[in-house]
Amino acid sequence: MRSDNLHLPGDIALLRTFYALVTAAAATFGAIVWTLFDRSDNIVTSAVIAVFGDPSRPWDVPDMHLLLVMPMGACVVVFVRSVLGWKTFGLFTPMLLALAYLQSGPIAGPVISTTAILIGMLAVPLLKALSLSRVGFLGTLIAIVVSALGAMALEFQQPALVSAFPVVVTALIVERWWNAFEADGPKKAMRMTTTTLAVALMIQCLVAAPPVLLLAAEHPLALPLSSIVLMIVLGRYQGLRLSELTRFRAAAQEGA
Amino acid sequence: MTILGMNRRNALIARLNPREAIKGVNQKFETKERLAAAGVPVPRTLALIADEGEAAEFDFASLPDAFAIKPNRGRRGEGVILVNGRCEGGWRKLSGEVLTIAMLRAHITRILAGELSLEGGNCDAALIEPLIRTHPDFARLVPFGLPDIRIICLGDVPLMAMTRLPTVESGGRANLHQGAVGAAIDFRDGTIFRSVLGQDEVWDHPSTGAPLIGAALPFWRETVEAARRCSGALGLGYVGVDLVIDAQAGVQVLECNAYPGLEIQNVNAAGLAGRIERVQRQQREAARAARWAGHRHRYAGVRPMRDIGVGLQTGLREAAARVAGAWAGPAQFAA
Repeated sequence: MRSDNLHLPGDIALLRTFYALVTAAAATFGAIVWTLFDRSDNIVTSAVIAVFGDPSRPWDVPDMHLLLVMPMGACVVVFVRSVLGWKTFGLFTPMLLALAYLQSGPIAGPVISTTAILIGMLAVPLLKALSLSRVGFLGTLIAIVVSALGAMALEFQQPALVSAFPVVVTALIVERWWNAFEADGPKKAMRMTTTTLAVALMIQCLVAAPPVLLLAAEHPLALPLSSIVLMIVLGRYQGLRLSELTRFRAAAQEGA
Repeated sequence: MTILGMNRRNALIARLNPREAIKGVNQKFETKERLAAAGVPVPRTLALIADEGEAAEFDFASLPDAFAIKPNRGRRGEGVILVNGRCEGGWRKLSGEVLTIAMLRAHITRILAGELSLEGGNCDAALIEPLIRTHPDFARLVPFGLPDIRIICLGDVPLMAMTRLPTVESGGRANLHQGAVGAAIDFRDGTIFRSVLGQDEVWDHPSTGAPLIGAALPFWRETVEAARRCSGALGLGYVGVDLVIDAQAGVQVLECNAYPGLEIQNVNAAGLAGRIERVQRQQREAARAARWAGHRHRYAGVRPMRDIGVGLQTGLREAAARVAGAWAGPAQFAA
């Protein structure tokens, strides 16, 4: 198997590049959390503010906008699932997560909800050891996620995060992650989590882009109606998904 | 594009497999009865324990030396106990551990509570069947475990076949994702013509070293015949049939799958979509011929759209030839 001989020089270089990127991403993430946490002026916080701006700033979109761009988020999810073939948790979890981001802020939303997901992930093995029923398990998980989010919201002055909506989405993601972890192993579960968060981030950037804001303000019904047309077209797509081009490479090699 | 992708497979299943039929195949006992009524060979049922009352008065001493106990609505292979022989205090499992009557009762209680069943079930029945011992011609290919055969059928037409051979790495399980070898079978004579481990092609079994290419499966004709009858018996238009070959009973259908996977295409190095299209085209032609069979009508067999298409094609070809000739003509003169 290809994955067995990772000792080729090119593979080692790729692997090291990957590790370096992951470390950089983790360091950036940590720096942002620190900046959210620590309001004083030091080298880390000023660097973060110089690069990302104030991480605790809100999106500042009108409430109506959240509703109007929901179909657009759904459209992105349909595209990602049936044309790209990326696996995400649940059907519209990325869309809900993106809306949760929109309620808090461009930087604070992703960072805080990811932290809450990580905390939930740490709690799941402990909860499993108690052998609870499914409902009891999910309820306890929601309570833990609420505590994490609430503590962070109080600490970072982010009241928008503690609405019911992001809490339930976060708890659902943790639960789905655990199901995937048990069924498909840690690698696939990690991959699905990353995809879900990345798609949510993509949707957030798309639906809060200035042209979309302008369009939603000028013609409120244009976005939902065009999303309907687009989703009907995408829903009828029966060709191969992008991910299947590599998956079925062996099947495609035949001549006839 | 001849490869069948997920989107197209789901559309095909939505059109061909009715909802009740999909639900039906999740229940092993009911599926077996329907298949047996259609003349498909299935494993015998030693006992079906439907509730705690039946479990309490069940005579465990009446069980044979070797049997398998499984949940009626189980997920693939989960909650199955395989018993190989007797020893003092009860039976011996295939894995070598001892199974006492108390342990067996506890397992049946868990099955009845639905703990080992598909999502959404909170009660289930326990099914006891004789243990399947693979035919020696087939079993010699694998180290241990139960190799099975998967045949994908569109109606009664078999489209593609493979066998899944357990390895030491797969722990005896016939699951491609857990490291079993997938081997494509030639429909003409039941021999293996290509085998795959993970992403790579292999030629010998990695655990036993047995040569796989050209290895013939026993009872191949009967295997295909059994698979062909499943679709009609269960009302599924597109079905993946899982079969095993028992040393005594011969071919047995273990399970039918309403959502068969697509990995078989990588094992065969061939696409399913092209074959499905071809079969559906033949079925349409046959239906059309049957519709016109008894008629002495003036327009019987006339297909205007086809005729227009053929006419357009020949006309275009002639026009292209004329243009090409006009191009080539002066050049020849110039030369």
